Amino acid sequence: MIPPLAYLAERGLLFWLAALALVVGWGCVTGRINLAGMLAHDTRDQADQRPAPDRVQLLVSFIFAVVAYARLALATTQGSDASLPTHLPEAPNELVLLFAGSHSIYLAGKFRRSLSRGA
Amino acid sequence: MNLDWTLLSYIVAAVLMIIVLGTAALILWMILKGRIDLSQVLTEPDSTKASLSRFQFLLFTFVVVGLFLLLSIESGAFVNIPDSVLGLLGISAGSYAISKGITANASGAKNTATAAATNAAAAQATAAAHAAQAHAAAAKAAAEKVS
Repeated sequence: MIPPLAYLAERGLLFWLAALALVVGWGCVTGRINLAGMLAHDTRDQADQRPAPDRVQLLVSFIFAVVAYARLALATTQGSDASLPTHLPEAPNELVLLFAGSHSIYLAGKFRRSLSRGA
Repeated sequence: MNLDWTLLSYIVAAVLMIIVLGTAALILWMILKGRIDLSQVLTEPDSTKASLSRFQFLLFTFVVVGLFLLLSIESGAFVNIPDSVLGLLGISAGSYAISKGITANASGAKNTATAAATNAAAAQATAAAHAAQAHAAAAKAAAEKVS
């Protein structure tokens, strides 16, 4: 019996992506991937290591948006009347607004800090 | 004859699959062995701190690509990506690009100020050297006159 190549390729790529995500995630957890100062203020002198509120809100809302969308996408394939999916589910407008607003706040904060540094 | 073409296409597909998956496995192996260094993957080249924009861009790409692959396997064909999801990806990538632009602009202004200060100091040093040279020449002339 010859194995279907497409099946092997798809499973192989999915496994590879999952393994890569695991390696990156494990690196973040164990500290092999540098995460230091990710939430800190933009300072070149490294003196100010307090978390910046705009960065914290971006991280929280980003994780919320990603988890919400992943759950929505997985739910489309697991419903009782679920037919074969032809496209990824639409992201709700509220999610897009949250995402855009959160990024805008982050960029505004970064821009303001760069102005105050330049002054 | 038809069987030969089928067999040939199967062999070509198998070779292509081995190349693609082999490359993927090799990359993973090199990462695990530390020959591809991921320790600074979230760090900016001119900084020691991790970048939040890089982190969210990486995570979001993982999630969207993973879901795309999963649903494609489920349905047996490539699924479409709706505009709203492309919009989310665009916001994520755009935020990363704008963030880097702001950082580059700020460090550019800082470098310009540093260069201007260095130039001013150099000009001051040159003027002082010229003055000292003139002073020495005058002293020498005066000494010759006295002798």
